[in-house]
Amino acid sequence: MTITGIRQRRRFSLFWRLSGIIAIVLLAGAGALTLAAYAYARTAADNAYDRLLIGAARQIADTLGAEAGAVSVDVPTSALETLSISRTDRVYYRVSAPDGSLVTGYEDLPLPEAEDPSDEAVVGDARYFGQDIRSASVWRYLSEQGATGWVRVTVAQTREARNALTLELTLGALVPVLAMSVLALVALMAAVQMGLRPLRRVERALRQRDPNDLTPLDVETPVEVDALIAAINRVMGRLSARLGAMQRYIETSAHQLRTPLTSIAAQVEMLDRAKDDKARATTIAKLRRRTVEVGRLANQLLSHATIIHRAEAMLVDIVDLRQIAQHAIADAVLETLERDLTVKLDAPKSPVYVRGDLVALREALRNLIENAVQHGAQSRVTVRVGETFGGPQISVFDDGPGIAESQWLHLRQRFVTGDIGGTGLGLAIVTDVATAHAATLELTRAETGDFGITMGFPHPEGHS
Amino acid sequence: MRALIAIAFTLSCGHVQARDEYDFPSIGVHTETLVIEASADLAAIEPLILDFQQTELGVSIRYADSLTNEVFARAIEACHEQTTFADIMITSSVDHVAKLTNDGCATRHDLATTAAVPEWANWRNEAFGFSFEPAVIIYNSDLVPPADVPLTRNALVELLRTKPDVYNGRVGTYDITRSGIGYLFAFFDAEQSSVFGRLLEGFGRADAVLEPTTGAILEQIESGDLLIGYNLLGSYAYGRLLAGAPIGIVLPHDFTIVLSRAALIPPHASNPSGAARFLDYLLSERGQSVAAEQSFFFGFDRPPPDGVIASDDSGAATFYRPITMGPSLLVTLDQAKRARFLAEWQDAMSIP
Repeated sequence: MTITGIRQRRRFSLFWRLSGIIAIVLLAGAGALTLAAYAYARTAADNAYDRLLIGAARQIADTLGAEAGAVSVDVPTSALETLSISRTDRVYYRVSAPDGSLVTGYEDLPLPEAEDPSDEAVVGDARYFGQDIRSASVWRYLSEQGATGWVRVTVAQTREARNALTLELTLGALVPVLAMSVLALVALMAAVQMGLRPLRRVERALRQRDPNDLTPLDVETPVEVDALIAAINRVMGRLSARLGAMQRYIETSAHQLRTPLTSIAAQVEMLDRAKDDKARATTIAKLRRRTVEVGRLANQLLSHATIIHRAEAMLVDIVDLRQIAQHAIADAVLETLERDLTVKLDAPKSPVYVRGDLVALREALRNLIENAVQHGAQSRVTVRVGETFGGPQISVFDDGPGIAESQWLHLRQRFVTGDIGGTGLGLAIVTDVATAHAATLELTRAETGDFGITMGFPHPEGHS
Repeated sequence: MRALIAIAFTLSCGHVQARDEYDFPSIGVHTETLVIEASADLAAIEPLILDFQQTELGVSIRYADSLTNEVFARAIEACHEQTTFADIMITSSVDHVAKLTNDGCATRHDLATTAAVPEWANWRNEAFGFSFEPAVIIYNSDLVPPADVPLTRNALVELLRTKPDVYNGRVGTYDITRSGIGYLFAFFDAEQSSVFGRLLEGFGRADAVLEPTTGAILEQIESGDLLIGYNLLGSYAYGRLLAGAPIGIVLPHDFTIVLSRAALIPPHASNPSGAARFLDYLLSERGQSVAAEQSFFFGFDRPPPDGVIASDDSGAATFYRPITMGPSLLVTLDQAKRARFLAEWQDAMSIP
């Protein structure tokens, strides 16, 4: 469920996503290059054609002279022929006398902007007859009678040939840019494919694996994938350890259950052979005790299995120890009814928070209470919840003989029963839960002299 | 001639200028009218109009013929004032056409077939030359002995120099101050070679007769008053030759200037699609054939017609010097240039 959910939510192909990003980058790059090429081509075309334009203007300027006190000009055909090489462009010219009046040509031809007249030519862009034109002006100083000053010769042409050249140059640059981009895209797509190949190898290795094989992966991969392999192997290791633990636990559990069940079978046999009522009654009593014991054992085995699983989960919840104590007492009360025993909760008014797992803590506490009820308490059991300098604490006291210090560590192992009998799981569960919660587990004595076991928790972060 | 209405307009500029209008009703049911403003003899254009109407039965054509300057003035005025002038404008003054095109006063038209038009006769797909009109030497074949027939400009110069007693006062050419075509021919002659200067001096010394039209000189050659005419329209002369006139036609063997009558579609035409179809017709195989057989007798990529004295290498690229339609024609319209050229021409012609 979870896995398919993740798949549907974030379904994408790494290959296509990378290819897409690369394609976009390449496209943007190609676009920028094309723009640059266009700007360059336009400048180059303008430079080339501006020379023709200026040349034509100079050809006309060469014919300037003065006749009868006025500026005269003899526009040479060659000047305009120079400009008609392209055969597509329109050509305009204008010759202005020093006073600005028209000598010949188009009177309203726009002139390129210029500062003072000089021997330098100026060029500029304008619009004329509804078309973009490029114009060039040159000056020639006349000092003849009646015509003294700078005579300006302006020649203009439409941009068709320039635009055609610009387009040609741009396209010329565009072809290699596009070819290079396509080449780069193909190469990068191949590279991505190659880069993803180790992942496919890992996938194949995992798929072909025996379902029971949890040994570390041994696949040849580049260093970049090492982290992934390490992570997979870590999971494998944990899984393997967990499975091993479960297996051992099941084996032990099976063994533990087999013994009392064999004993029950033997009792039933004896019941059959019982000669008189007294013997039968004794056997039935034994049988009943045995049955209760087996039930208890089974219960604890299951709860321990649960705890083992839960203890490895992340401790994310903030729980109130008082509440846990109440529930645990409620769980355990049934067994106290048979005896004249009081179970009492001693807790502050305010909540005592610890970071931990509700179910695991409750199970641990229930086991402590049951241990006290079963093996220790004469008349009373006290559950105390409190906050000390070291952190939150929960203790279970009883007025029984307690456990000797020498036996303490030993008893906390699984399936160790000690002198007093029992399933041997109770303290083991408590120990596991305490370890999972980074809690201490200690033997204590109450002021009343009652024997007790105390779990000391660290302060929950954010809840001091 | 199917219908003729001649109307004379008196214009405000003082002297009388003629504008003749002719109507060609459609052959079939009238669907559209095509207005042609031209400066071209009706005789040359009429076969083309009539043949065009055979291909487009619904088209009525109104054809108006006036002087080149007048057509040009009205065309450029209409263009600047953005009013309707005509659907098609036809003129032999290609410099006018160049100016109109340069000033954006022609509509672009992509020809259905471009094969017929050489590059020099098409500018920007806006102005199209549709005829092939060489400038020729004409002589009276009865009075000029074969040995005297000038085949080149140099030969003509020599003839005028060596036989002034025969030819003085009996040669004629265009008065370029009064003829647009004459001015163009003279201008390009001067551009092409230096012989032209000596030729002008020869004409001046020989007291050449100057006339504004080819027809006027031809008449005098046919009557024997003139013996030789220079730089005249070959198409017009060949028409007379076919009609039995006693003349001979020479394509100058050193080089022959060629002019192409031009047609364009003015802006704001009221029937631009009809105009486009007429242009396509003029430059189609069919239109060119009609022009070569009935109107102009010469044509693009055709050998000269029979009876014309042409050089053996008339097919060579350097033989014909076409007047290329393009911005360089603007020079011929340049006010200062024109005044200078005319002054030089007049100086040469008035040599005693």
